[in-house]
Amino acid sequence: MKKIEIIYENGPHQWAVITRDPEKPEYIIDTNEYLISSGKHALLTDPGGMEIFPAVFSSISAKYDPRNITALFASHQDPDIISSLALWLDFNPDLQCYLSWLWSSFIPHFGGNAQTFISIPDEGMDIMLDTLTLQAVPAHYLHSSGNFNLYDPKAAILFSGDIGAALLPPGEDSLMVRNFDQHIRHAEGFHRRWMGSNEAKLEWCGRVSKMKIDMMCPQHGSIYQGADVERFINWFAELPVGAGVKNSVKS
Amino acid sequence: MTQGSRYVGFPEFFLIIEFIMSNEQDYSLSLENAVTVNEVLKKVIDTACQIDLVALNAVLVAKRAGAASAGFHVVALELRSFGHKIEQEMAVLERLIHLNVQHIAALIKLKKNLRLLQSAMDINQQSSLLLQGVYSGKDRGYQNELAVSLATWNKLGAEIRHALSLCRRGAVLSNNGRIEATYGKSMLEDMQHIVSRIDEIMDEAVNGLKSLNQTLSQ
Repeated sequence: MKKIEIIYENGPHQWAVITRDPEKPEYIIDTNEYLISSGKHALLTDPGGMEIFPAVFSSISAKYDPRNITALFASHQDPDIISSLALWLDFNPDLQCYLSWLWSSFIPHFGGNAQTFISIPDEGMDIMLDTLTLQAVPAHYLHSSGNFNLYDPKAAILFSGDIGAALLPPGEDSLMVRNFDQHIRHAEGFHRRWMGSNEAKLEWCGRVSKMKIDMMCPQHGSIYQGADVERFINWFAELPVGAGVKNSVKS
Repeated sequence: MTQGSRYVGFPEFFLIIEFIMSNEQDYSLSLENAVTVNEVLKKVIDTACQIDLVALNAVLVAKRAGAASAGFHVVALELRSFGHKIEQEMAVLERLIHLNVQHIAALIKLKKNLRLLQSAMDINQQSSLLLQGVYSGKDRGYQNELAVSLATWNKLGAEIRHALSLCRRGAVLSNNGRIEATYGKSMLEDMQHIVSRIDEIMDEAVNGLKSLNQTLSQ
């Protein structure tokens, strides 16, 4: 059973994370889904794959009324991000899915119709959720060629998708990063291999370093808080990416 | 609220469960229906779990009232014990509701797979022949999940009945508390307030169940 935990609360404005499924088979990577709610409306980020839909849906139902979810946000096109789309649409055919314009004709292979998708232009856009304004922040090539983060300026939380993700071993999988230096070892290989462009990486680092971010929430691994957010940005800026294959392919 | 109106809710609760049980085959296949039941029961759980706190207040008030409220003190201690039992029962219900939604979501996923396979099989005879084995295997998985889902649904019904019998005891305790409060002298007002709060809690739970009854009747 996945856990659902509130990580930010200010009246009707909340962020909850759905995470850490002890019953998940080992061959499926664990994911963090974030439910952002404002009043009677909620948006779910990267709702996950088809296989984990029962676990995600039932965990959300334990605390929230899933009928209040009016929108999905897909950071990119991967199966662990959005392959459950058809099942969510079976539950609520009026759901809207925000995603990069680049994938707007690819994602319908998972489900949906012309009314389902709201294409995000490369430069990003504002997304209204009840009275709350969220921002789709460009993170292209990190790792997908059409890739977005989601920023909540009021809560000072950045949903960073695969940026900041870590493949954590059992026993070191706390929800929040406790020791940055220990934690980042589990993020390094992932970022070297998955992130394809140093130029895009530096552009992203420059962009987000100007934002007020109290929590940086990746789709896999632990959440960075406070000073660890800046530590991560600095670490990422220094990390050579797009070269991870050298470590795994023998000549 | 009259005492009579409180008791009207309990048979309704039974009717709801009977409805669910008699329609379980159809009912179990709808995620929307599962969510509706889940939402109502979550409210009932939230409400019922407030009893423990009110019972604690009852114990404190009874202690302050001293010898004049010996009877109310006994009722307050019983309410406290009742509150713990209700909390335990609600924890069981919470776990079962979660499992129930999870099983139904899994059924929806399997049903979607079956629908897609069936669409492919409908295209021509060759597809049908090639996919028949796959379809049968998937269908067995679906039937197994359905059996587990129905068993969970039945267990949920049984636990709700158990919770109801506990609630009946709570209603009797509340009534006893109202009688004993009349001996409360200077603490009469506080005691009556506590008993009224217990009545309110039960009323809220019953209202939630009434709305579920309406949903199911539509």
